[in-house]
Amino acid sequence: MQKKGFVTILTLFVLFLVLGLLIGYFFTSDSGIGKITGAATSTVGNFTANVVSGIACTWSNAALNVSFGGGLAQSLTQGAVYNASKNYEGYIGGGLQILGHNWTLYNVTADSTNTDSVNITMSGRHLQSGANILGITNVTWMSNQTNGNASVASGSQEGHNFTYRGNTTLFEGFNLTLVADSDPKLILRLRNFSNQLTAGSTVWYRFWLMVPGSQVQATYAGNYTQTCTAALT
Amino acid sequence: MKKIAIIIIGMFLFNLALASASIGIGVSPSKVFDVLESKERRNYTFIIYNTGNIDVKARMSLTDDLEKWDVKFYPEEFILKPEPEPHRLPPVNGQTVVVSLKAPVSKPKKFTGHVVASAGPSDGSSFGGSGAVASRMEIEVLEPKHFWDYWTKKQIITGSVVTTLVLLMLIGLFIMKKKRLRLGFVRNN
Repeated sequence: MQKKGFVTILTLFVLFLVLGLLIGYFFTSDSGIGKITGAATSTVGNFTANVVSGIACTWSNAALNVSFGGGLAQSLTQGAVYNASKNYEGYIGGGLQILGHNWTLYNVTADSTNTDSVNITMSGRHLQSGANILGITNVTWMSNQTNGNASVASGSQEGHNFTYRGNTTLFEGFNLTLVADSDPKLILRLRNFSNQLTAGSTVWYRFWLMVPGSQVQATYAGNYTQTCTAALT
Repeated sequence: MKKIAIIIIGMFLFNLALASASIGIGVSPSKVFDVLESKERRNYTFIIYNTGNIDVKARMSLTDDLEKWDVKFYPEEFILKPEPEPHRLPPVNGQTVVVSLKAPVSKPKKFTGHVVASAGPSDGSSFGGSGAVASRMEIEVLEPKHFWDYWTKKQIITGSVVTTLVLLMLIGLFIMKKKRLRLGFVRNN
């Protein structure tokens, strides 16, 4: 008789436990069917303000169309480093480029309607040709917010390598404005970046490609993405 | 010499492109701050717009801390027409996108990420490359309100089914015992 009572109590306990869990889950959680809603009213004068925020960036037609191989970059001591085709508006070679006569066609503009300043980051993938890979770290860039010529006083157009994140094929993006760049050579390069690109402002930039001596001959293709984000204030 | 051959024969292309077009993309709002309870789902509305001068195909995604959250975009991919000049806010031809986010079960923690709209060319265009715009999201997730919020739906259903089966077995055994019935294997000679 005692055993029978025990089994009955146990059975009822388990039954109520299961029912309780199910009812609790479906009827009292906010996403459940028993969610209670309501509204409150009051009679006071109202201010109405529709605040709209937004950011947008626009890239030049050349900025998302980068090709290399048009000619050697000038004043470089590193070896085989090649200009992107629009680095100097089609002008390759000669001494004038370091005087700023040839502007790059690569640029991105923060829209005039932007309610926040923006930072621009860039990430890319390896250039590939079948199984052959030309690492994205061989691509360097340099930017300048004050004019269309990103060359520096020394005449060196050496930019900054994409940095590898390690665990994926995607590479770490970095600000074109390079606030976090710990490269000790940065100061020597005299790059004139601003961390926060204000509405209506434009950043110009150039790309270079270094081809390692052991690179297999092929036609390589890859891609990159430039992302505009509201700057932290 | 080999390098020169590489350069001459191989054009190292990031992207192919048309000669005269610009790609632009924008997002409104530019940042979102919110507080969610664990497992709470909430919808956020964004307007994505095109500040370039050609149609672009835009695609939505989430990054950083929010990348692994349960998220749905309505719509996820769409075509954007350029905004008329001069640009203004709110945009004229913008596409409304609802981002439905469900907070994970977590101790109180702030999650930071971006809702990203990437712009590429429309189908049939050879314009390559991609520009993107990202709206910053900071969401503080609170602890679950109920202890069962730590359980997933799958765990609750599985647990209920198993418990019910055990319960039925117990009832069956009880009835069999009451009626003095026994369950066993009998060798068939």
